[in-house]
Parts: sequence; structure tokens; C-alpha cells
Amino acid sequence: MAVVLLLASTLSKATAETRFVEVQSGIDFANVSGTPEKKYIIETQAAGVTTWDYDLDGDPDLYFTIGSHLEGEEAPTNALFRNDGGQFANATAGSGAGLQGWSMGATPADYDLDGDLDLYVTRWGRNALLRNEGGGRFTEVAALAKVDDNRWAIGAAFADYDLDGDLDLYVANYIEFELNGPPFYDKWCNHRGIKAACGPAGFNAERDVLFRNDGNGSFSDVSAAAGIDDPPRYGMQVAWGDLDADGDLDAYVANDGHANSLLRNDGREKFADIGIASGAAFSGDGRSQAGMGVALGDGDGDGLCDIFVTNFSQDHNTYYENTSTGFFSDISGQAGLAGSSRPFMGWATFFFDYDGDTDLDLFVANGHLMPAIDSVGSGLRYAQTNQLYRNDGGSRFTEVSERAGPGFGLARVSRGAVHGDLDGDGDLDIVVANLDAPPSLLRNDGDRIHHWLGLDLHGPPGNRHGIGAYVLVRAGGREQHRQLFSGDGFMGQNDPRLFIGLGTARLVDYLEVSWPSGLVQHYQNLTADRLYLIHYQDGLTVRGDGERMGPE
Amino acid sequence: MRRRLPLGTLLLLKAFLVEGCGYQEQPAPQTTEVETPPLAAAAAIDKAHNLLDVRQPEEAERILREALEVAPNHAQLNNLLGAALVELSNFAEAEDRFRRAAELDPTLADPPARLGWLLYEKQGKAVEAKELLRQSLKLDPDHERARYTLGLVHQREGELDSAATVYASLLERIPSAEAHRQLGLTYLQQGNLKRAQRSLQEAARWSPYDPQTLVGLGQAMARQGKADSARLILKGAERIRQEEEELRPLRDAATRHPNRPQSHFNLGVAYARMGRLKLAQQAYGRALETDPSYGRAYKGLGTLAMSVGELEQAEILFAEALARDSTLATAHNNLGLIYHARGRHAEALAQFEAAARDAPTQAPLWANLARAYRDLGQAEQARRAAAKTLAIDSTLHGAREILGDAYFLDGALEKALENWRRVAETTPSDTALYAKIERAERALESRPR
Repeated sequence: MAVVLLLASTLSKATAETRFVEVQSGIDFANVSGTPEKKYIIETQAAGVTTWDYDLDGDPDLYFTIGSHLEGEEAPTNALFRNDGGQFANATAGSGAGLQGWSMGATPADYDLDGDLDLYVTRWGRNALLRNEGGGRFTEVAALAKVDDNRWAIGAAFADYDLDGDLDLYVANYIEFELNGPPFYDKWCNHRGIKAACGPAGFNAERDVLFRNDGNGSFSDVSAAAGIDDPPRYGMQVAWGDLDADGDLDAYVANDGHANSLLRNDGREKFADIGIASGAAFSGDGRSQAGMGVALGDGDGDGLCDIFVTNFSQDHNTYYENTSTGFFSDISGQAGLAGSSRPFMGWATFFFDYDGDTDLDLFVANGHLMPAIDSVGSGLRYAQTNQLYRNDGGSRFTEVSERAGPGFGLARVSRGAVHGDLDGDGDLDIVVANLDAPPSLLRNDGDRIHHWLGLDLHGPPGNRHGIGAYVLVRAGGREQHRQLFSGDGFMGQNDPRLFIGLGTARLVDYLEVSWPSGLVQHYQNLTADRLYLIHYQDGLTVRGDGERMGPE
Repeated sequence: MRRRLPLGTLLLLKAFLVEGCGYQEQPAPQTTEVETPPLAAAAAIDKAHNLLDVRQPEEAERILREALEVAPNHAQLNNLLGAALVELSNFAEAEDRFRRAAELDPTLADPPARLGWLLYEKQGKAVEAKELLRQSLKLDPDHERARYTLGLVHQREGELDSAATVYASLLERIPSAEAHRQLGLTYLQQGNLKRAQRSLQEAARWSPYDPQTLVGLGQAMARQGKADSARLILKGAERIRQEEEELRPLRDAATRHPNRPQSHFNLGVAYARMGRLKLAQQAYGRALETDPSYGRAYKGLGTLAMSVGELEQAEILFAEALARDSTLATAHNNLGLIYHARGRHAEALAQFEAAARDAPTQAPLWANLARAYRDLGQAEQARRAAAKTLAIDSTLHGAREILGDAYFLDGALEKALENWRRVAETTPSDTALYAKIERAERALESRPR
């Protein structure tokens, strides 16, 4: 058996060469975020992207967030792009989705249970909730839904933490910031000889907020009762996943310069921050880091959800392995992820099997915070290339950015990024939001030597994509575990469809889908290289040919 | 036998201390730029070291460049310039300078040590860094920075056995809290929990206020199933981490402005408030080293002495403070408290009067004055001082009780009761106060209507 497994593994890693190529594909959008000098911290982050099938046609559309000008010029707007078979059309005009002001991230959910996807937009200023009215039109209803929080929010993610069938909302808030206000007013700060925007150190941290969906189109702030808002920290990104393998969703929050939080859901609508005690808050050598983005995934294939957090340059991005004892260990060094990340400042990140070889690889979007770093002879650059790490199995990764195609040779000031099958060919493409520049759409033009399985989960009303659903796949002698996470990345939501690499296997021997409600569906002998729709109530459909199979 | 002041008195004092020590960083004195001849190499190195110690890398860079114009092939000048350039984020030239220094004098252990760290820290070049650090240690096995850095590189790259060996060898040569801590954290990463606990406990003995150590220790306990101990330790670590954040700008100011007594004094006050009395004492001591006439440092030392019950010592220190600055309201106040505790009420009163005069907006000082008047039976003055206290801070219930006492002394029982009852609403378990109320109520009932 071991020989068979070894052979399968060897075959699956055979000669796959994946090239990511930047394509424009109709995205006529350029980010704006203040001035090129970046005197204020607010100017340094506002470039997010999310996938969002707003027109329910089955492919991921895109929504880009944008900052603003500090003064004078008319504020630009966020932009909505409709996906038409891999080509994008700007659908912002007249849609009501073109918000002005300082937007950060966006995350979709059917909050009002009407069957289509709405969008929550985090902002400096009041956050916005775009209710999908159908026909490509949206109405801003944050106040009506009682989620118009006016603190500076960066990351947000929906999940049904209380298992009542609708999606609740966690918002990671950052700092109390006022343009030209205290404590730094209009001053520059000096960061080891580099002229830089002041903060976050010195600013008061804002508390995070948890909104419970009341199921009637509005939410209640349950932060204090749930125990998630104390102490306040510099929150950047929140991601929901079952980190303690007890069946409900926990929240992991990357905090900038503070301990990261692992909020364990006790199943009774309360959370306890076990980040420090569990070893998932600091680097292995005991330091708090500048947490930015969060990737969740079973990086080592042991069935448990690991955590990867991006950090500041001259520090390493941190890979927390979920051990079988309920604790986490920083194994960034052993995993080959430490040294190579030190010259880069990381933001969005995600696990994804870009080469279809059955294990989860890693993407990291990079870009420095201080434009002046280019002029001090540091050797570090403001615009940086993004990084791709191939999973070699056994918790070892190899950086393959330089041979991953021209898309990884581009130096930009990247922030948000998402993955998804944008062109419908069964592999995962990447969209990167760049500060003060157009986004990069990196099409995956990999060699087709590996097979894949696509799963489009259609959950019950209230949880359209089945966030939190757990999937077990057995194919080619290998077992894979996936969960549909929410919020992993930075300021956006990845394609909610799961694309699972099968290596050389042409057949899925066994598929198990466990829904958050407890319903479990099993399927056997599924042909590879197809996208299957799995309905919560009706079972499985092969996308395109309409053949339907009931769950066993 | 130590005499201790009543807790309430100390709390009052502490409240005042917190209020009284705000620090606004003063702008650095303006100096006129004067052309000075380049220093000789040794002098330049000495001066640059001092400047780097007080975080003035720009000035260090200037001095070193001038010296290098005269002696461009001086290895140590190149090495130290590299160090200054690292502080200014000019890593590219820093790398060149370290390489040049190593070329010029291959016997120096410091340039490869610094270069190794730079290459790892900034560029993640672990292999080259380790090679350089080993080279440095061959030249000087006691180069502490090189050995510690080599351990860190191994640790961060996940080479935990090597990291543990390096830290252990460092501890054999030059024991330090940091080496104990990193060895403990390495054991923790290896899952060697008992050893981790031992090393981290040792580190905590060396440096009890290091949150990294305590976090590691808490995690080691948690992983051994010692949940209660872990919780306690991690709670302490969190408190210390918050305190450290608060201390960072104060330490920074003391490092940058070592010749300003106020920067050391402010740090001392913060330490004292956090209960780190030895560190507070050291900080006040540094303030006095900087300026022996700095009265506030004596006042700080006096307050420390008072907080541990050393009243005689405190009295001397407050007197020293006032001899140097007679307007130090806290020193007057605290001296008054000492006299008051010894029953020297008239002397206490004089000190409280001086304190209230020097800091008329500080409610606790007026409250102490009111108490002194009351204890001397001077009802009218006590009433006025208590009313003044409450006008500044209406939440000081002690002052309201004294106001009631003063009315009682004057026979104004209704007014006394009115004030005492208001206090009783907030302190329902104060039996002494209830006894006073009952006594006054009985007296009021027995009065002819």
C-alpha cells in the first residue's frame, strides 16, 4: 500500500509546469489611494478585491475597492466587473455599487435570505452593505441592517457561528484615525531613517465587532456578550474556520503588531481567545508580529486546519501547524517559508492547489508600506513581486515564484488578492489588487497533466455557498480534507467553489460533504475534471449536462 | 519594625502621583553647526559608539565618514559605519562596509557577525549568514552577538537541534536571560516541555518582566496540562506586555536624552506605578547622577521608601527634595502624611497647606488638608478645604465624609448626616461610618423639637 501511495505521489508531482500570465481581460480599472508619498496611514492599504457571483450565472464576478484623494479632486468609485466567460465587463455605472470614499475590503453573503448575494464593504467611515436588488442593481442599506459601524474596518467575514442557519458578520477594526488629528496630526514619522506614515503604534486600537444576523434583515451587535472585543487590538483580517475540529466555526484574527487572536467558539455563542495559550498568537521565538493577511488550510494533509499569517518585511511570514494535541507550532522555518519571506512585506495570502497535484500550495501578495524605502539604499523595494510556494508534501514548501511565469515577475504594491477559476477551465487563477495601479489578473496557464474536481456547494437559504461545509475526498489512494472558509486572504473572499487537485487520478473514489447543519452526503466514483453542483437538499449535479445524482 | 501608612492614604498618594507626572517631550536644544576637524579614528569610534547608544545614527554616520576620509582603510571605522547605516536602513552600503572591514582586517570577529545578521534579517540569506557567524565565532568564540544570532537563525529556520546546541554553548560562556529564554522557546518548539519549562523559569528569574519569557512559560505549562498555572502566567504576561508598551516611549526618551534628568524620572515614576520598585529606584538614581540637584528624583525615592514603610528614610528624602525645590507639592504632601501618621498634626498641617498652595488644582491635596484641619478640631477650615476638594472632584468620598465630620463638629447634625449618608450609599460596608450616622441620628432625635 505504501508503495502505491509513494508511486501515486511521485506521479502526481511529475513535470507539472504552471505559468501564470498577466491578462487584462477587460478590467479597465486603476486603484487610487491618496498621494504617492503616503504621508498618512490611511493611504497605505485601500486596495481590495473580492469574487462575487452577483448575477448568479455560475462564474465569479469581481468587485474592487478603492481609496480616495486627500483633497480636491472628485473621489473615484469602487468598481464592479461582470464575468462573461473569462472576459470582464465594467458593470459599475448605474449599479449603485460604485461607492465613493475610503473603502478597504468587501465580502459577499445572502444576508437577507432572498437567494442572491449581497456585499458588505469595510471602510474608513461608515461601512456599507449593498443589498442585491437583482438585475445588477444595488441599494446601500447598512443603517437599515444596523451594520453601519463607523470605525476604521479592514477585514470582515460572514459565517454562521451560532448555527441558526443565517450568516453572521465579524468585522476586524483597526485604529482610531482622524486625518491630521491626534496623536501625530500632520507629522511624518521616522522609521529607522525612512520617512514614513505614522502608526499604527501610537494610535488607540479599535475594538472588533461581531454582528449576529437576526434573520429579519438586520443584525445585533453581540461583541461584548460573545467576548470578542476585549482587549482592543489593531485588527487587520478575520477568517472563519473550524480550528479546533469540534464542528463549529472559530475566528482567527491577524492583528498588526499585537498578538493574533484565535477565538474559539464554545458552541454556546461565546468565544474565548486561546491564541496565546495555543501558540497561534506569536512567532515561535515569542514575538508579536505585524499580522496582515490570513490563509487557512490543511497544509500538511493531516486533516487539521493550519494557519499562515503574512507579516512585515524583515520578519518572517508565520506558518502555524495545527498539531494533533490542540496546540499550534510555528514551523515556518522547517516548512521553508521563513527566510524567503524576510525581504517582502506580505498582505493577502491563501492556500490553493494551483498545480492540481493534490496538496495545498501558497500564494503571498507583497508590497511595502513606505515609498521612501526606495531612496535610502535599503535594498528593499516599495513595489515588490508576489510569491508562490509549491507544497512538496510533509509540511515542506519550495518557493517557485521565479519559474511560475511572467505573472510573478511583476513588481507592484499589492494588497488584496483572491483566487478562483475565472475562465472556467478547472484551474485556479489569481486576481491581485494593487495600490495606485490597475489590478493584476494572473491567468493560470499550467500544463494539463493533473486532474481536478470542482465542487459548487449550494447551501440552504441563508448560507448560499455553504460556508463552513467540510469536504473529504478520496482519489488515487490519497485523502484530502477541505473546508469552505470565509475571510481567508486579505480584504476579500476567494471563489467559494472548491477546486481540488486529483493528481493523476481520473476518478474520485469517495466524496463526503458535511454541512454545518450536520447533514452529511456521500458520493462514489465521480469522474474527474468536472464541476459538480451539490445542493443541500437535492444532491449532486454535473454542471452543464444536467445529470443528477441523489445522495446515498 | 516597619510602620506602614493606612492603605487609603497610599491610594490617595498614588492617585496624586499618577496625576502629577505627565511628561511632554521637550524639543532638543538647538545648536549652531560649526565646522569641526575630523576626529582621529579612535576618538571617532568612541564617539560614534556613544551616539549609537543614544540612537543618534545620523550624527554617528557623519563623524565616521569624516574620519574615513582621513583613514579610508581603517577596518573598525568601516565596521562601525556599517552599524550606523543599518540603523538608517541603508542596508546596501552597510553590507559593503562590513565586507570592506572584514577584508581590511580578517582577524576582526565583529564584521562577519554583523554582516551575517544583516544578510539574514534583511534578505533571508540563511546559509550565507550562518557561514559568516561561524567564521566570526572561530575568530572570537566569546563573541556573544555572533553566537546568539547564530542560534536565532537556526531557530527561525526550524533547525531546532542546532539552535538548542548554540544557545546551550552560549549559556556556558556568557549566561543571560535572553539565552535562557531562547533555549526554552527552542525546547518548546521541539515539544520538549519539561526542559522548556526549566529554561524559561530560569530566564524569568533573570528577567522577571519579559513577556516573551512568560508567554513561553505559560505555553509550556498549558501543553503539560497545567491549565491553572498556565492561565495565571499568561495573564501576568499580558499585563506585563501592556506595561512594556507603555514603557517603550519612556525608555526611548531616556535612551535618547540620557542627560535629561526628567526622562529618567518619568521612567522611574512609571516603574513605581507598575510595582517595579528596584527599577524605579535605579531610574531615580540615574536622574540624580545626571543632575544631583534634581529635587523630583529625591521625591521619587522618598515615595518609594514610603511605599515600603521606610518612613524615616522617606522623611529625609522628602526634606532633601524640598531643600532643592520648595515647590514640590507632592513632597510637601507626603511629608505631611508622615507627620500626620506620627501625630505631629501641626507640622503636618503646615506641609499640607504648602502642598495645596503649590498645586491648587489637585483635589487629594485639599482632602489631606481638610483631614488635618478636622483632626485639629478646626471645623470652619476643614469645611472650606473639604468643599474645595469636592468642587475639584466631586467623586472623592473621603472628602465628603470629612465635610460631614466638620459639620458635626459645629453641631450642624442635619448637614453632617446629609453628607455621611451620601457617602454611605457608595460604601455600604463602612461600619465606622454607619456608627457615626447612628450616633448623629440618636443625637438629633434626642434634641428638643
